[in-house]
Amino acid sequence: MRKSLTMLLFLVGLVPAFPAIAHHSGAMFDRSKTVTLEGVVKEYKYAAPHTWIQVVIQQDGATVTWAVEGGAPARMKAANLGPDMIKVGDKVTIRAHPLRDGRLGGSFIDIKLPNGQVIKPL
Amino acid sequence: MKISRAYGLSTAIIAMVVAAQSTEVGAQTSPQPMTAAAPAADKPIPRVGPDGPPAYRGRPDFRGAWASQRRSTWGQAKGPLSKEARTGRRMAFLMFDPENAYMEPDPAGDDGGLDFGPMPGSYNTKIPYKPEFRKEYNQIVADAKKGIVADRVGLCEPYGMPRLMAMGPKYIMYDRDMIAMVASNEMRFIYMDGRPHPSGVDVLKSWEGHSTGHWEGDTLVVDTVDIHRGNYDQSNAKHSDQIHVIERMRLIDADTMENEITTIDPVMFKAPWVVKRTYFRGPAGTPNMPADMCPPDNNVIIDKDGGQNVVLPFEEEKPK
Repeated sequence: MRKSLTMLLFLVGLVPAFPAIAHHSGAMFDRSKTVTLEGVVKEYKYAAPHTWIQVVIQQDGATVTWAVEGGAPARMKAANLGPDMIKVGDKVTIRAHPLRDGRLGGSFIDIKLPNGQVIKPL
Repeated sequence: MKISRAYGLSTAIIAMVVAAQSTEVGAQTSPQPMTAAAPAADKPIPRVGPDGPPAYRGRPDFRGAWASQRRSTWGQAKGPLSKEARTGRRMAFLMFDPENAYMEPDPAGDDGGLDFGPMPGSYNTKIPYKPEFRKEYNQIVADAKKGIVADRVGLCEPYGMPRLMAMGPKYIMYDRDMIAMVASNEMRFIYMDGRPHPSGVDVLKSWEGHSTGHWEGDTLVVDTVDIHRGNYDQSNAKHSDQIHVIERMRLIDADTMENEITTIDPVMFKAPWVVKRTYFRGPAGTPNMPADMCPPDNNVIIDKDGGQNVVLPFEEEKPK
């Protein structure tokens, strides 16, 4: 009884957290790899269920656009990455876990803003 | 069906005993308090007054906003979370029950990343499948570990019952003969006037099923049948269209609700599956309801491997 109560307290202690809706699995992203994208913001789509940041970078001598999927708007806003914080034309550095299939997309890890601040939503 | 319903009652009684052991849970200090107000455990459980509808007078008052975790659904989240809290978030949100889940480790150390749920390969450990369905689930989990996840909620199908209650109610209303629960952007209606479930030509399956409720003391007991086939969570554990769900909801303190959910699946299970979820009271009053359904340009598709993939914003063609 006492042991089970302790276990319950432990488990309940884990539960209070802060989620948003996870509409789809992250299985298409390779979380063992990280890419660093240094470029210019082309679009910050700040909409449910997931935000998307498009960034134009120089890669292997060519100009290419990457699309990075971020958290839900509420999560990004809680990390001070609201729609006013990432603007078209901003020079930023974004780290992401790339798609497994090699297309130019990834899941957002963190961003270095033009003022040098690095923000990682958790 | 009759046999399985009787079977459910006995497990519900067992579940009650287990629930009784956890009454002190609400008394602990939360690591993530929602407000600086007096602890919920020190507040009396709110009850419906003499002016309320007769079906609820003197009963616990579940009305208002709720969340499956203490923060964020209603925009309360501020600042970073501990690793334990982040792990708990994924277990609580996506797996049916933290006590029933194996969490696949994340090579990136973030427990699955932003809003994508647990790492693929995570699964329910105690789901009581018959051998043939256990084999099928094992294959689904093995595929997920390779990056192939075919959970159709990503494609904008509704969550349905009982998965809706894994996420928990967002808002609860008491109408005269019926309790309405908004969960995700779906609505459940729980009839409190003693009517039976439909039979014969009146049976109509739906994502949320047909729910009837009654009070056993301070516990709201809800019985749900006529649910479409579907899955329990992002691990894509499947259920048949014959499931019978019995929920026992009670307040363990003023601001914390426990729901013990017993699912009986005469097609796929060899025994009932009993899991427990905890919900936390959201802001008082009538907050703006969070919108989280898929937008018209939802970009999630099933690719040639049979798993979810995303169409990137600049792509017109779907990935091959």
